[in-house]
This record gives sequence, C-alpha cells and structure tokens, in this order.
Amino acid sequence: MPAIDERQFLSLYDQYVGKIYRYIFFRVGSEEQAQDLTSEVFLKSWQYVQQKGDKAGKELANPRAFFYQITRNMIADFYRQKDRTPLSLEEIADKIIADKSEGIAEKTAGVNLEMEAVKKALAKLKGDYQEVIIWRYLDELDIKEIASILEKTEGAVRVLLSRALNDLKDALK
Amino acid sequence: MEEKDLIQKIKLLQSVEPQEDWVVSNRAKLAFRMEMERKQNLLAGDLFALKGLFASLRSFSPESFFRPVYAVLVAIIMVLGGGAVTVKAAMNSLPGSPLYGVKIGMERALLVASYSDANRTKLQSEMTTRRLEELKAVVESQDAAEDKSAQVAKVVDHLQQQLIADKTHFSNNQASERAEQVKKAIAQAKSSLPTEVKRNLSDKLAQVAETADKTTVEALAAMIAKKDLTNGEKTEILVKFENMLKDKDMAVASIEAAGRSNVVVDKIADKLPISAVLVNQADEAKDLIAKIKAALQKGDFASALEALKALNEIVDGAQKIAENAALPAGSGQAVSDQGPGANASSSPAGTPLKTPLK
Repeated sequence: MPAIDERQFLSLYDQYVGKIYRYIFFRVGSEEQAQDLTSEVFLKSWQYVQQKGDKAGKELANPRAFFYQITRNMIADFYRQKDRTPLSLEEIADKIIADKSEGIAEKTAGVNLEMEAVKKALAKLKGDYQEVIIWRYLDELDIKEIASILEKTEGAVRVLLSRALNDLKDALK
Repeated sequence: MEEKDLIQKIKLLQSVEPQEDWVVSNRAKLAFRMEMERKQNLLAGDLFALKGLFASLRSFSPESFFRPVYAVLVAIIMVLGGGAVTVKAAMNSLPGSPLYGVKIGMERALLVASYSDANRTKLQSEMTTRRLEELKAVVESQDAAEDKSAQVAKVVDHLQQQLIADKTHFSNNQASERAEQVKKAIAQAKSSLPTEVKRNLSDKLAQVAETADKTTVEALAAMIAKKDLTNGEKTEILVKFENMLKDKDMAVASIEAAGRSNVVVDKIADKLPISAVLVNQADEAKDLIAKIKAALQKGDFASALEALKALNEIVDGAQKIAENAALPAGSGQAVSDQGPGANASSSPAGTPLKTPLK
C-alpha cells in the first residue's frame, strides 16, 4: 500500500517546486539545467516513495528534507556525469549574471544591483556554504532541520553557517 | 557590515523563482508520468492471466487458426479490460503481434512526456535494449520464413532509428558503445537466420551495420580532435581502432575467400568478373589495413582515421557485391554464418558471403 497517492504527491510538488528549483539554480547556475534537475528530483522522489510503499513514512514525515537530500545527490551526480566539466564557482557567478541578461525568471521586474552582487558573491562560495545560506535564510529552515539533511550536529551546522556568512561578507567587499 | 544587514541582502534572493508556465507544464508531465507508471504496475498481475489464457488457446487451436482468434481475443480484452490490461500486454509484445504498434506508441509517448535530458537518455537506452531483446526473440521464434522476415525487418528498422537517435542523446563514446552492441546483435542474428530471410533482409542489415560503423568512426573523430590527449585517451582510441580492424580483417578474409573460391569454376563463368573485383577489393582493403596499423604505430590517429573511413567503404561495397551475386563457396573457403570466433576458412558450401562474427 503506498504511503501517499498521486494527488498528495502533486500537492507536495506545488509546495516545494519553487524552493527546490531555486536551490538547484544557485548550485548549477543555469535555468535550463535547474529545470531539468528539478523535474528529475520530483520524479525520482515519487519512484522512491512508490518502491518503499508504506515504509516511506519517515521520508514523508519531513518531505522538505527528503526532497533536499535527493536534490543534493542529484547535483553531485550531475557533476560526476561523463564528459561534464564542473563549472568553476566564478563561471557559475558569471553564468548567473549572463543568464539574467538573457532574461532568466525573476519575479520582480527590476532586479537591483545589490541583488546581483549578492548572487555573484554567493556563487563564489563553496558548495556546503551555499547550501546552509540558502536553506537558512532563503528557505528559512531551522538549524535542526539543516542538521538532519546534512547528517551533522546542530553545533556543526552553526559553525558552518557562521563561516559561510563570513565568507559571503568577504566576497561582497 | 552587520550580520543583520548581510542577512537582509541575502533575503533579496528569495525573489528568484522558476517560470510559472514551466512549473505548470512540468507538473502536467509529472502527473502523466506517474499515471503511466501506475498503470504499468497495476497490470503486473494481469499479465499472468493473459499469458495463461493465450497459452491455453494456442494449445487448443491449430496454428493457422490461432492468429485471427488471438487478434479477436485481444480486441475483446481491450474492450472489457480497459486500457490498463492492453498496456501491459503491449509492453511484452513482439513484432507481428497486434499490440506491437501500441508498445512503440507508448514508448514514444513516454519520450514526448519526458522533461529532462537525463530521463530522455535513460528512456532511449531502455528502448535500444528492448529492440535488441525483440530481435533475439524474433530470430529464435519458430515462425515461418515470410513472417520472420517481416518481423526482423521491423525490429531492424527501429534499431536503425535508435542508432540515429543515440547520437543526439548520448556522448560520442556512449553512442559508439551502443552501436557496437547493436552490430554484435545484428551479426549474431544473421548467423541464426535462415538463408532466405537473410537474403531478403541483406540491405537492411547492411544499413544498420553501416550506421553502427559510422557512429564508431564519429566517436573516434571526436576523440582524435581533442587537443593534448592523455595516455588513457590514446589507449582508448587504440582499443577502438583495434576492435574495428579485427572486424574488418575477418570481413576482408571472407571477401577474398569468396572471390578466390570461384576463380576456377566454369559453371559460373558470368561471375568471374565479380570474383576478380572481390579479390581486387580484398587486396586494396589489406593495403589500407596495413596503412592504418603503420599510422597507429606512429601515433598518427588522423591519417589512421581517414584510412579507416576508406576501408569501411571498400568492405561495405565488396560485401554488397558478394551478397548480390550470391556466390557459392568453393573449396570450403567462402564464409557462412557461424558462431562468434568462427574461422573464416571453413564453411558449408552454398552459403552466401556474410560478415564473420567477432
């Protein structure tokens, strides 16, 4: 017996697609790739839940963490794929700016320079620093939840966050 | 900068969102995909009942009566059982079955509904695997030669399309590996097919083999074009060349054997010019093979590749000539279709020339 039906899963999609997309977008730096990977995340999540059936209760108790874990694995695979050279952080930063000039999706019409600067600075950070900043301040996850996704202690997450903010501050100078 | 100011700046990025129309269309594709998978899962149990039903009907009815009854039964089940039963039965159907068209249609629908390159690549890979399984099943079936020809022709056509699609969805190297898989499967199929069927399908089978060769050559060209090849990459290129040359060596030996075996036979005097052509082509091919090996020893991959392209043309052309002439084997030298690793110099008489198996 499945733990969740299609309609329920699609409502989880509606709830989390924006956050997952945004997280991937800042990690890979391309709208197209963010769309592809976001689609894959939800399909894989659905297939996983179907396979596990009523044993998927743990994952579905915290669907956000579950989606983020799948997403992290998918981003790692994305960069591990054959013939794919990972973009350097500088390249990601430049791509984000370039994509913006080609018209990437932003809700607000006039994206100000300050936002561009923060985007570029965030893209320069290490992957795990980017993650904690995105989750804590954009997705507003609490420390406990971030710790659960990263399988670290809450203390370790606080340290990581502090270092990430310091690096971001430096990158913005 | 104060931490709270920094956090305020970070929160500006909350405005980054996906495009609304993408979110909606992606949701629809996800829903479609979930529905398709649900139907396939639901039917797993139904298949046993379906197989049992058809098996009992097959044992009950004579072979000639079975086919129309089978088709009617399928039609009844489609009406009474709904789409779900048909879907599962279709996924296990072979060319010649009334549901094979449904199977191909469903695969294409899944491909259209697919919303990521990774997913499309996975589906394409599964489709090629299914075609190769179908080819094996059809070749091993007990159907009459006429039906078998039509069924193999259908699968081979789809394989040809898959090889072309693979170039878009896979890297050069992956497409080349898949092409080599297909070529091996075609060669094995040819060895098992009755002579009459092989003759009917010689053009189609040759076309797929040529496409597979072209894919490998393109993969080589892409690899060779890279600057500053690593030792690993050079080794990979050499291995690919080696595999192709092994294949061509055997093919050339067959062509030469087919040509020489008929030199002294009076009865087929009209085929003597063809024999001479075959021997001449075999000699040219051998020269090219030697050139390729020499170029590879010097590390001149580009020259080796050009010579390989010319070699492929000569071998393909000569094989077609030999098959169309349907030269008989003489002195046990012409090559028939034998198992992998067969010696090109041993064959039963009267079999047309085919590419020996790897």
